[in-house]
Amino acid sequence: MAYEFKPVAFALFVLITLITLAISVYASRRVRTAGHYYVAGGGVKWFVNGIAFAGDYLSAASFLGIAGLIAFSGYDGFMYAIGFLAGWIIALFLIAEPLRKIGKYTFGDALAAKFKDRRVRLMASISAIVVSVFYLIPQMVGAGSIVQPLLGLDYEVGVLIVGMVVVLIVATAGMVSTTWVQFIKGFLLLFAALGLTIGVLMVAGLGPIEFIGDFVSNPSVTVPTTGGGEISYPGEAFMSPGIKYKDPWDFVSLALGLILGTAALPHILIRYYTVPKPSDARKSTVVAIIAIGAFYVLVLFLGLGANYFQTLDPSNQNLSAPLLAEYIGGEVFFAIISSIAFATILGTVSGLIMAASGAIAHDIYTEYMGRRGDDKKTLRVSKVTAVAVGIVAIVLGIAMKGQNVAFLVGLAFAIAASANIPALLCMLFWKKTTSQGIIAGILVGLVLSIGLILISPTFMGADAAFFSLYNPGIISIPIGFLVTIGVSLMTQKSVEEKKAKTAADS
Amino acid sequence: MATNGYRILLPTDGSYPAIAATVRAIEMAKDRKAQLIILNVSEQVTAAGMERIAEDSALMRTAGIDGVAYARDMASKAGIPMEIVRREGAVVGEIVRAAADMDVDIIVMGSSTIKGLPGLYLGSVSRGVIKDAPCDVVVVKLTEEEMKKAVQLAHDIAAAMKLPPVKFDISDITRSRKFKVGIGLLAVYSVTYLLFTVLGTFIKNPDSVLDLSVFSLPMLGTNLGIVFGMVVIFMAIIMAVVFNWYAGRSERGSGGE
Repeated sequence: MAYEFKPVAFALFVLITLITLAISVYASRRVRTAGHYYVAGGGVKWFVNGIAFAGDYLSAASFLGIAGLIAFSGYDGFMYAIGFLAGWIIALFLIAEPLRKIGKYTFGDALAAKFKDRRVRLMASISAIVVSVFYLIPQMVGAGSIVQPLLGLDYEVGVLIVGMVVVLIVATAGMVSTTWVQFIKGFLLLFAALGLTIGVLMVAGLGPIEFIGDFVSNPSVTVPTTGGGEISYPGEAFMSPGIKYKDPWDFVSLALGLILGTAALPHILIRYYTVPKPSDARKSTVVAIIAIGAFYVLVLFLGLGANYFQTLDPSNQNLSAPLLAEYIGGEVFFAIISSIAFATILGTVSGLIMAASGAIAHDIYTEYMGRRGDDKKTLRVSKVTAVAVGIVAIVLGIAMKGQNVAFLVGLAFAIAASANIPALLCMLFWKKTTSQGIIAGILVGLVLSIGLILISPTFMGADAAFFSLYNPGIISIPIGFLVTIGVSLMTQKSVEEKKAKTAADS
Repeated sequence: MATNGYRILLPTDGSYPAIAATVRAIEMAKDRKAQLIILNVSEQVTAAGMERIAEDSALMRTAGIDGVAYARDMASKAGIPMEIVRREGAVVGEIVRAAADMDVDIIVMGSSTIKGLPGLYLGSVSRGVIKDAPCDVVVVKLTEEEMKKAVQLAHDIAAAMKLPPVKFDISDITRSRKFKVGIGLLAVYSVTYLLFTVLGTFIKNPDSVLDLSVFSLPMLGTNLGIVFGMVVIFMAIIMAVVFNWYAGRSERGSGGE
């Protein structure tokens, strides 16, 4: 599909983006310096944080990716929505309070504090960097996709512009608080999804259940293909699993990666510590679950709506929701939706680049290499890293052109779950865990999950792939656990000897 | 040392400007035989870890030391009577309120002039305090030489201070009834999610000629897949709300956290 430059949409887009930034500057300034101590009274913080949680989590993947997947692959896309939400239940019941009790804010800090082994910190920070980069790729793909219809520019140019803008912000201005951006964005995202859903149902003239029922009973649901043709599915097939994933094991693998992935994402878990009390942390998680759950219900209507009105670009699934907005509400609504998606990407990308450069500057440079005391150098290292990570993300983003954003995020979840979840759960709940077990578990989980993705159909094509599943989780997550537990058991003796020795010494 | 009732309020957060203010405040306290009130305000800003680090670097709060402990040690070395106050809330508001509550004669504080974009974002605390304070305010500007000394001292103290060991005993949480209820809910949810995945992928619809999943069975105007999916989504929301209610009740029951 060819796109032209839309001046009105572009002007609105710039305006909305600037207003969002201005409001967040005003809000964070006010909280900090206002002369009144009852600013943002005590009861509000967990709510702000909860919506910010949702804003952080509902990245381009949810808004652009899942809507696109549902529009093109029907029910298989809905499976993503359910899995992304399910991960929060693990985080709420199993991880949040014990991790908070330890008082360490990141996975790497907690591991390093427990095992007092520099190699554990190194391994944890490598894992954080790798997961961040894999999470960055879909954001870049989403950014390139949005800029395309808005400015009429090529996808590659879009990725380049977004990447450079973010790197510029992070590397020159230093780092500014994003919580309020995330809060405003989370709110806007929910309202946009609600507005779009109401628009879809009104234009279609159907109630919500009737609308879904219409798809189920439709004899032929059509989806355009890149070649200019189209494929038709019977409605009952489109609305049940099996359009994208023919192999049932692929689904199981995806489901496992999604439910375990959320709790393994460093930039999500960090938010548990943004409110002062554990009870507030829990309350904000509950707000987040409500907001995210509601959003995923709405996203089903966005995806189906895009198919219903055939606002589909076969070369880029990620555009389904913005194009639907253009169809329903014209250029103005399109600009609003695009700027919300863009703000989402900007926030997520800067957060991820910060996390990655923080891991290198703080964990590796300062803590592992022992270069303490020189703050200027550390700051420079973190800025150089931010630029480097940004370039890697731009290159990979361009290489992944045309891939669905939610699918790519699903892979990032699988890598995070394989590398971090065994270490996290063993550290918290299994006393016999050793540092060698943690190091081996993270390493094997990381290498195996990435290796399996590289030899999967995504990279090698459906026929040539050595590994037939798109998602590595079903293999790499259990093996991550086995290695962590196995190596820990094998290294028990040396720990006991050490203990005996220190006991004898003292 | 006897004091003459003159009270100096020193707000500190361990940043370099605050350490500079500490140096000056102690000189002043010595000169005037005053009492020093060391104030630390912990902000309840909803900021994530990386944002905190970013803010710390913007505010030059990277000395990595406990500002209160630093001021306390300096004051006791100089034999100055002191009081330590810790508060929570918005920084400017708490400083102004503490000054009024404790009837201080002067506030001595660092100049948190932040340059660039973070400055626009964070605003100036000293400016806010000057505007609203009920008493005199001194904003300290150290000479380069003095600042170097203060920084060196701060680094020495930071190096000497040992961080308290982290406690890894989480058994009080894992033994609590609240956590067990959480595990129970998690188990119920996991089984439902597993059932959802297995049913949707491995079990076929016996009526379907297309060899479709059992999810294609018609139900409530849609099909089993949509209904089950919605159940899984709403179950997460309901469980979260119920757990929050239960945990809140059990926290209140045990007399807070």
